[in-house]
Amino acid sequence: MRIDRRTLIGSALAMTLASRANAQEWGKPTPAATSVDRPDWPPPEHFPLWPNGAPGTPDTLPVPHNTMNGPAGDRQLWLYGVPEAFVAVYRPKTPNGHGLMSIPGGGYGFLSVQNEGMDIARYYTQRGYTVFVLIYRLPGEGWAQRWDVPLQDAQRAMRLIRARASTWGIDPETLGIVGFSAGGHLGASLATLYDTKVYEPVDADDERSARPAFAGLCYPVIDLSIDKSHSSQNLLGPNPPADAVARYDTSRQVTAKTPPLFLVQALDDPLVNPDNSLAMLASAREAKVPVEAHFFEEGGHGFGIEHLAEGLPANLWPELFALWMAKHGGGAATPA
Amino acid sequence: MANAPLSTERFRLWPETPPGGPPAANRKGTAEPTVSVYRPPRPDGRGVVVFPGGGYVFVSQVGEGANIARALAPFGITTFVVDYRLPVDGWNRRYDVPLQDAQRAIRLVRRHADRYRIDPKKLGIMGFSAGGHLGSVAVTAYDDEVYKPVDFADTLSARPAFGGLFYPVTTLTVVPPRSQSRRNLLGPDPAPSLITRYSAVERVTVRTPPLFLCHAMDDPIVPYWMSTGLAKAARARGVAVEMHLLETGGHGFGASLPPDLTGSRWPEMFALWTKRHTR
Repeated sequence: MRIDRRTLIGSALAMTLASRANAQEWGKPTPAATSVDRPDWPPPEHFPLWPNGAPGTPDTLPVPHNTMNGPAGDRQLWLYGVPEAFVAVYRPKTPNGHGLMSIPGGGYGFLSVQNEGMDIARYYTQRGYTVFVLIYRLPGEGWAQRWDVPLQDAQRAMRLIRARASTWGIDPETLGIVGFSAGGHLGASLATLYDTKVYEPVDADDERSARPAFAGLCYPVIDLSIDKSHSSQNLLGPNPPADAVARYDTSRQVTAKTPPLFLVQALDDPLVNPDNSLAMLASAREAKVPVEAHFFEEGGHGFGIEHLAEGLPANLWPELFALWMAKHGGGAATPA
Repeated sequence: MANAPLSTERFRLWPETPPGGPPAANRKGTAEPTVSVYRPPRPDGRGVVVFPGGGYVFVSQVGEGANIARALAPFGITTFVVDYRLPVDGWNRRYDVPLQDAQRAIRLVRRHADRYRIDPKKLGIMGFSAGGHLGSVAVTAYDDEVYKPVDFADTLSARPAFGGLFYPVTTLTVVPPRSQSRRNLLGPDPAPSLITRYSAVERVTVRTPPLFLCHAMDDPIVPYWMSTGLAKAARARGVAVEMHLLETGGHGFGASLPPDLTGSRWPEMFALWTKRHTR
């Protein structure tokens, strides 16, 4: 295995995740292509964001080298090398007419697509939501203006989903998001910078709003100035311009028009400081943005829905979020 | 949901007259503080001493007492609801009166743990609003000597195994416009040392038991920074904290929030959380 900065970061994250009290020993990652336990990915229904080429495309596109990670018997797919941004679609058996876009984390160095994408889709499709998993380009993989690359994809995804809402029978107005870790940073960026022009319009769909109806942010990176970890480094790269650095301190971008926010954080998170969520809570309250915040004592980082030890209160967060979403226009309060 | 009936199983805290008596003739609260016992169908050894709220001018025995017991019973938790004396009723050292009753209640329940089929090590507290203030005092001032020992029970520890605080008053150093608790507890013009003594935020130590905080941010009476302030002080000292800040719920919701609000799920989360802290 080639040891570079990216694999080092991946290993550090894996070790942190493995330090969870209930976690078994994490083995070495193996290439997904040759791993028998890899999940079906991508799902049959998915669509690209930039049919005519993404903004800032490099001469050489990233090459996928996805891996399976975790303890034997409970491994998960991580995406490395994302040549093309796209949206994976998961339809519910009994649609409730609402859509939810899930934004996986991975420190802007990879995409935790199973734990924070497919697993989220499984849970919320059971509650009637049409779930869209955002596969965004990774800023360190050669794209120009790297700091804007994830937000370009997030804005464009919101606009395309809304333009095609009738395809899935969902209300474009109530489309919300849920983001995790670095995907929580991207979710917070989208919730605050939905109107900021970060790419030249491609077609008529770009006239649509990219503002989420609501945003769930799970163990999110909020301010790059608080989180000096790999997410910040991976998004900004070396010697970023000052305006890019300031832009992505998302708690400082909150206005009265920021959509309602739902924050989930474990206070024993070893990777993302809870001060991130607290900063966003304070900004939202100041701007009179509706906000709810659940700070669990235990849970660690990167727990998604499927990776919490039995008996932890944090296991209730997906249900809490479902109840809260229903109050902000998306879906029914009780499961179908 | 209809209110839960009051328990018929009840005991007095003080064998003779309580400390600081006699109270004023026109008192608003009890002169003989009691504990009402609510037994679950299948007790699992956990117990909670509950301090209902009421701004220190009444004690919300049903909404923040009997109804709490009913919400916790399915999880095997035995609940002890305290009808504590009110500091506005003319007792000597008015400010110590609720804490006297709180400490004594915890010690008596521990003394008779066998009778109530609980493990004395698995006894925590809960408090709501002004009762949340009393609860926050109980988790920080559990060793304060506020009364002369009466019997063997008073040799036992009054330190709770955990504390659940709901829309609590956690400091008396700042008085929110609509909160009555400080004036009712301390009276007019309290000494600064007294204010500090009854401000949990100022008194948290590494020995403070784990805290579970639940507060609606639309609370019109006790602002949610009362909870975030205590959480911050506790975390700074390494005390385990869980904190649920609800968008909607108002003040005094007890266990009465409708099932379509997130705050309705606190009993399950609290039951799971206390399980983690009573192993």
